[in-house]
Amino acid sequence: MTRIRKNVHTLGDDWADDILWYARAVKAMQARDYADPTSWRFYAAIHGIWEPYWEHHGVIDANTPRPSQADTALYIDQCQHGSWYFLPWHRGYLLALEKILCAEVVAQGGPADWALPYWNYFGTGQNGLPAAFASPDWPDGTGDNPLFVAARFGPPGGPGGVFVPLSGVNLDAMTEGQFTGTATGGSTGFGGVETEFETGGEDKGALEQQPHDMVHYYVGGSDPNSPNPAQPWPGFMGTTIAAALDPIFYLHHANIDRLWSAWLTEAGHVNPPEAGWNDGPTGQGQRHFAMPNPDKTEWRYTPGEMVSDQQLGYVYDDLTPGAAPAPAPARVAAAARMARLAGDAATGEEALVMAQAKGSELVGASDGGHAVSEGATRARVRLDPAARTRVQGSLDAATRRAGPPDRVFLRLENVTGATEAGAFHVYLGVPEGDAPQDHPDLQVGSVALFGLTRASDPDAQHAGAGLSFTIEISAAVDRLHLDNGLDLEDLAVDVVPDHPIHPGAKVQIGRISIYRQEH
Amino acid sequence: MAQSPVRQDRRRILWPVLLLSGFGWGLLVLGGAGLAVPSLCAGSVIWQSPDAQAFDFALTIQSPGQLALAWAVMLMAMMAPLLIAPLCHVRAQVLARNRFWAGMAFVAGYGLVWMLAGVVLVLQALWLRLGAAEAAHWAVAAVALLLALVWQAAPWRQKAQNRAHRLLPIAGFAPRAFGEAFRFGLRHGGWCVLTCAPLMLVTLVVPDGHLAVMLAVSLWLWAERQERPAPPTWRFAWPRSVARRARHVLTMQKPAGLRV
Repeated sequence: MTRIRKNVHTLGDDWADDILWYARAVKAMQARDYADPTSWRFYAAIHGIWEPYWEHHGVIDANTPRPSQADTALYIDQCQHGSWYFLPWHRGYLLALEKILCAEVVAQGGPADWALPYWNYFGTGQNGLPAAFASPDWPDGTGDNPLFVAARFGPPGGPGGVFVPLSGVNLDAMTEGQFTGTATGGSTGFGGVETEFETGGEDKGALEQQPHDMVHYYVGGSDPNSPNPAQPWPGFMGTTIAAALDPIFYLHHANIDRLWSAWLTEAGHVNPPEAGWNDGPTGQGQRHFAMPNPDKTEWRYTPGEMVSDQQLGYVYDDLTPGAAPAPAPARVAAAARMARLAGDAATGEEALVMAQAKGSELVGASDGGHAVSEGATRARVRLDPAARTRVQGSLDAATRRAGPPDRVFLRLENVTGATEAGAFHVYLGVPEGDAPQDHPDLQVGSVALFGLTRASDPDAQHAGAGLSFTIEISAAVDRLHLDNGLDLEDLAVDVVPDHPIHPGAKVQIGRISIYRQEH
Repeated sequence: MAQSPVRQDRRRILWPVLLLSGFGWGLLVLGGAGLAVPSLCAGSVIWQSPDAQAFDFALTIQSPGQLALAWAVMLMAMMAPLLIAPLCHVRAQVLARNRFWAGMAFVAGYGLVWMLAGVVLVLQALWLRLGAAEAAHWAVAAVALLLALVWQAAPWRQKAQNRAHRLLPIAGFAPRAFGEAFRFGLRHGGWCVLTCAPLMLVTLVVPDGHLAVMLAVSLWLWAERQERPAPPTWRFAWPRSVARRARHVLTMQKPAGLRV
């Protein structure tokens, strides 16, 4: 039996059967004790937990029985972020939860082929929170709708309501050609960089950074009742240690999973061949990926077992990444870039063999760190003439179709701070004195601070090194080159917070740099 | 076999570092027991604090210069493999043409801290060896080992080890790049000294089997380096990750099949 995961916005009704059964099953899971491995709270803690936050929101209290030590060691605090395991771990997580929900659906007389819906916020008119999640009431008007979460605040400073502003998200990750990337300045890959068992890696893959992190930020928002207003806590969805408490989390991740499936349909897009990925951290004697089954037995899995949704018993009703037409796959995007540089009028699809990335090299860097708080932060990234010339050389070669152009990336390195309720929009080349927001065409990307507080803790996994974000700026550099404007000593980079960040949150960017990656 | 970009970056540093370390071990083996603190009998039955004359005499057997050279070779052999991650970081942070000298600047800062620490550790080892009766030399080494083990469990040691894992930004352009790489080396070396110094003292005070003890300590330090930062608390920190990996390899456990 193959389950079909469907778009929550095209089910035909706000409370279509798939949503109604989801709500009933979630309610049953929420009623179970936290220590029960098939309970809602236990499953949320599998993703991540920080007890002070959970207690602040009344999810648990001092008297709530905790999971056993054995269960805690096996299951709790497992989510893979900033890692090439991000996609396969979350696929297994969703699959396991879906099994438990489906068992509950069947127990309540529902269909055995029930499947998790997904939320395609890129669909036309579909970026709003599905209605069933926005109401505290069931369709019959009774309260206690389990899909409604009070700690879901929506875009900070927004007009109200929970939605995903389309100006802050994009599907650029779908044009990434390689699954695995580098942590030293080039592309971090569609799926991320090689790590060990990693709950909060410094560098995130393209899909994780955007749109995954941005949707978490926009939906979670900022809690107006945070214990310390200078360092606001996000809503559930805005933090790794509580995101999975919110039922919308699973529809968001079903969409991320769907985008992975969509990416794999393109020729040349393959999962990593390395044994280190396929065998998972288990292959190196590290902690297993493990989930509770509906009968509370343990299910262990590896990334290599997560490569095909069809083999796992489910498909998506539509693999169009956003609203039609789909963004160009990597080889087509690369061909279009070559054509643009060469001045060809038509692009079309070319049988362009995707050149393998070679090493990456620093081209320029800012002088020192930059604080980000209430307004735009402007940095001048000094460019090395020799490295810049190498970039120009590759672009010149591309105009003659004599070789593939370099890819160029902007990095916000070692971002640290005491709040996750924040995001930046990054602009390149805004004229001096102008407001970056007046130049939407010069916006090169957006990043969210999802996972920042843990990453900034000097006694946590990365010793307080924070998060680093990579944004591809090849298109912007191509434009400068074609306009004969790349002979610059430096480039202006503006980092604009999506919503003012209190200076007390001490959000800092360690360095802003530009890298070239040869192909 | 396919290798990810992260692994390829590490391999660029791995072979030069292993060669350097191997060269150091070769010198130690050929030089005979490496840094051997002179063994002189104390007049007492168990312990008598050595006077200045005893130190002067010891330093005629091995001059300060010889001791410093031997300590430097020890560091090269034992510490080089621990520097792969920070060297990769330095290499990635600076312009391509400055990578080698930025790396050297880091090593210079790191080495300077350890050489200064060596002055303290060697003098301490001399004081212990010169003051103890020959029959008590193994007892002295045992006490040093016990203190190292207590330190191994201390939260302050865990804090230092956590700080040693931290990779901070380095300026991209010379000369600031070299200065910041050097300061990174000083900082990294400082945290390493705080973490490892008690164990290094043990290698200096053992009366026999010096090379074997050095090798054991080297392996322990390398294995420990694979551990992630952890909350500082009283707990005996031992290299769990390497132990698990070794057990996995030895038992040749295959990942469990899909049981959906």
